[in-house]
Amino acid sequence: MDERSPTAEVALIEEARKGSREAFREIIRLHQARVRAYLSRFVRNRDVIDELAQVTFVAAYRSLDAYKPEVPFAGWLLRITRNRALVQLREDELHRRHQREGFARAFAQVRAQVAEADSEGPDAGRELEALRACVEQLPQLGADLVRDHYFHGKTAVEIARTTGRGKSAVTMALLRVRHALRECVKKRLVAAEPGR
Amino acid sequence: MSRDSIREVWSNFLEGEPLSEAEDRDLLEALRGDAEFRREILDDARLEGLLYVLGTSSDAPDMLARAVFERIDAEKDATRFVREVESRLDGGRSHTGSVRRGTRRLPRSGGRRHVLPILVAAALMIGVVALWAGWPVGVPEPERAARAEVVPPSVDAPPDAAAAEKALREAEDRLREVQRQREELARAEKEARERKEADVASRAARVRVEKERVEREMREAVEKARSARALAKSPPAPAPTTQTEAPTLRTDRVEGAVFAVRSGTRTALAAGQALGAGDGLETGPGGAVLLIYPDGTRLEIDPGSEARDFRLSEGKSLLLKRGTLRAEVARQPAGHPMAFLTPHGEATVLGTTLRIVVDSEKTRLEVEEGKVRLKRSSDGKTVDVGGGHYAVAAAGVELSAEATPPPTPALARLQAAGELVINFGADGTPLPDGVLNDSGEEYDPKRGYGWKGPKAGSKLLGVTSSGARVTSGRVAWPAPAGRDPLRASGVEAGWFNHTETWTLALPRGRYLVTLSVGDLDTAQGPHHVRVENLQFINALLTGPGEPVEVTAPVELKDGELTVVVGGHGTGKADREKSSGTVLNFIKVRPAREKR
Repeated sequence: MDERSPTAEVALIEEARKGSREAFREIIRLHQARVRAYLSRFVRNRDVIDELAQVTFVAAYRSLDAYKPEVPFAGWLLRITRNRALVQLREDELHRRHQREGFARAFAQVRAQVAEADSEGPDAGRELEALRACVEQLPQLGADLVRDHYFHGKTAVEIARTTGRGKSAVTMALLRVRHALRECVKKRLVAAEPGR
Repeated sequence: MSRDSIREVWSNFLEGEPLSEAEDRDLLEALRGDAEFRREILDDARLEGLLYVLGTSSDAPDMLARAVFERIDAEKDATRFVREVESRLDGGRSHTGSVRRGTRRLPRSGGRRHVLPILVAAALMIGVVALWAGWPVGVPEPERAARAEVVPPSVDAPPDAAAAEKALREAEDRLREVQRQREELARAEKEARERKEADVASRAARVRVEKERVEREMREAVEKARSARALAKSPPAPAPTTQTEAPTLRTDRVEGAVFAVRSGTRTALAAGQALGAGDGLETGPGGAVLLIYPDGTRLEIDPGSEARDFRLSEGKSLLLKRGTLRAEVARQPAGHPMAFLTPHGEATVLGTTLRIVVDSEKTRLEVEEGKVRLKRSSDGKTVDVGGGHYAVAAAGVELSAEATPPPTPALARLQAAGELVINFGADGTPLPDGVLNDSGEEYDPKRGYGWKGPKAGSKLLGVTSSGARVTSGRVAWPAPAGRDPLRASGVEAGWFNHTETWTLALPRGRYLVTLSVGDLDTAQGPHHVRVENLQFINALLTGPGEPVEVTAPVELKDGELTVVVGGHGTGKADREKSSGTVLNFIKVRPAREKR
């Protein structure tokens, strides 16, 4: 994820305000991963994440006049993102009323509650960068699993078929890889905290 | 089930595998009963989401940017389309109330060059209103002094013809001035509308609203002028019926349109004037008056009332033909109770506080303190009504005293503070003192407000672009900590073309209603709100941080303020939007213009 100096970013925003689509395109390029990462905290469906990322940037574009440069742009953008996510979650909540009581519904409700309560949370961009570094450090087997499943979209059954392993073994291996990555990300975020 | 087994079930769930009933139940139990497991799977789901983002293709940013600009262009087209249609429909009639925005919504280039006519129009409007209301805004002292004399002379002191003529001339001068400024306003509006930029068209809509208000005030000015003329030309008042019945019923406070009726002639009544024996009185839809007798008895007569045949000496009486009055009756001489006659009965009192409401079918007497005897005309039956009780005189209704139910919290607030504010948001939202909350629940007579039908509706309204199935009902959310609770919380309803109805029990009369729609943090809309028969808000889009407040007078004729939320117009933006209308709060206060 690219980072620009605050001054350069303010200049971009100013150009976008004046109507430069190229400048706003650059803003999207700089922040889209952070926005998607933030949305992924609350929303599982990737199509929905894409949709919400779009409406977030549309809302940001419409509100550029209201943006105050003394506030970090990323934080401002993530507030819009969060609110778009909350709107989506509230609509989903309506939808869930027609679902039977079960784990899927209860888990979605818990995630929605987390989203309602989570006003800030760790910076999604930093979290994503930490994860990228952790994935690069994975042993080959784990790295292959992550690449096939999450980057190339292969299901556990497809991976099991191509690797000659059982499907259950693949899902459990994925679980262990994610656990390892969680621990790695946590350590990296703690290590990067100011004062360390 | 062991933790590892549960984790395996969880992994299958993440993979989208169907779970057996037992697995689903076990997972659910673990989620609810095992906090550590709950944290673990929440973290796991979060990391899984990040992994998917990490695997996003390299051209994702460009694809996203392309999609974003396509949406922006589509929205602009839709907005332009809607506004053009509204403009052709003679000003759109889309915003009937006066609109206040927090910030400008869309970045538009070149819009400022059109602001001048709007400012001119606004200044004219303010000038007209100030001229009318008597505000000392740039009005020379002599002119203000002249206006003060326009008040029609006292009813009990026949007007001097020369003074009345002077008053009439001044009223007509004012009328001409209002008309002149109205024409200028119309010209400014025309200029604004001819510039077809959306921003200007939107502001022109506001100018139109103000113009309508000025026109309404102008009509009232005409009415005043006519009253002054009629007063000047009316014959002298008839002599008092007796020397002891001097015309001493004083008008202490007059609001809106109030008329004295004497010898079949209606004349505008102003504060400080007096009514004589035999006179009558009428209040218009927004009119109200406080009358004071020499013994301190006070009568408050509400809008839409008609009282006749005031008797002022011992054995005071009046005929209330329709409407509502509240009386604080001073102790009356023994054997001479004060009588309130109605088409359905008669209430006699020696000293008390009461309220009488008369409509075409019944008379309702409410006694706050003391005791009142109510006699039904049709059969002569009587009932004594004590403090805290009421009785109804009407055909087919048992004449008995019943305990008066306490006012609803909403009505009590309105009566105590002169203004009622109801926030829309999830229960538990911390609110300023005196502000009530509505969380989308069904109407409750004890509360005095709420929605028609259950909060969680069952009607499928449609499917959003993200695949979510949306049903009827309402959704409420709280304000995030530290945000303005009134504007950051909300209740959303009326998705797609569906409408939801909210009601508030209020006495009949004229009110100023303010509604806020939108979201402090998120773009919302298009919003649609109808209050009584007035389309308050029509297809209004609000951006983040710019909830919109709309204020307009509302005439309430049925004791219930009805707010219909949602529904769609015919604009392209409407057709493509699945969002509901977001209500932030409603403010209600009596609309009584002092004069």
